Amino acid sequence: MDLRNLGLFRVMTDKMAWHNQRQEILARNVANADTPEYRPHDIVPFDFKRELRQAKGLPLSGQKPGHLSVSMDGDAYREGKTRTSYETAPAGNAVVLEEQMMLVGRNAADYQTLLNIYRKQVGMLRTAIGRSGTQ
Amino acid sequence: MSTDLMKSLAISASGMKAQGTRLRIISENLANANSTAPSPGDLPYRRKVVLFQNALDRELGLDTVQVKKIDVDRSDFQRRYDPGHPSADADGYVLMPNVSTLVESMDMREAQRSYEANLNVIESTRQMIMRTVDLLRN
Repeated sequence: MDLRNLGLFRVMTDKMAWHNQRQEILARNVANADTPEYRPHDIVPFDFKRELRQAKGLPLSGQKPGHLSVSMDGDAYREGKTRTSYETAPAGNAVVLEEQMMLVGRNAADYQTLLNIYRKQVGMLRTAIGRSGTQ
Repeated sequence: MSTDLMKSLAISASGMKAQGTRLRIISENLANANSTAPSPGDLPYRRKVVLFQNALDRELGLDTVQVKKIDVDRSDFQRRYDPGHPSADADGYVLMPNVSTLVESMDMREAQRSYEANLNVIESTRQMIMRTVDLLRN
């Protein structure tokens, strides 16, 4: 059984992918904290409603070789440079380490929350199957 | 599963490498803060500076940070009156390196701070990976 067929699991894995991508962007910002003319990047916020609507939609089945395959996942989220920043160094670098570290911390915490929800859901499925769920 | 997380680790590692190079150059500058010229006509040690750039790592497909080039500081040398010095000129002045210990130690602090920030990102990413792997436990 593919857990991604279930709406909630689908949204959760999408959100995890979003957090993964955000972690990469934040790591890049911190690594470039002293690069001249570098502006910090960020990712578009995760829109829960939109994702839920997408998760409910039926995907194309694509049973024959000639059918187009539409991949519903694997699309990277859009990212761009942040417009405003607390301060810009004389060399044109606008990365503020404090801001970035706060975002990194929040990202890790949200990811952890998501993992716990995921675990709970799997536990509920286990209970439904009849084996004793561990949690 | 965690290709993006592995990418973050690679990016942070590149940042730490760049800051490490910077720290090495700072220590070269500090060590040579009193390296005068060997003879009156020569020039003393010239301060070096590190230039960073945001570079695309083609192998990993990532924007990492690299040391673009290690250049020299073109500012003027200091002059110190010391007629007995072997490399003093006719007027008794010796050219000293254009290294300022104060600037270097401030630069060192900044490099250290950036290095620690990268280290924290690595730690946070590592925790995210480990906790994802922990999902397998139950």
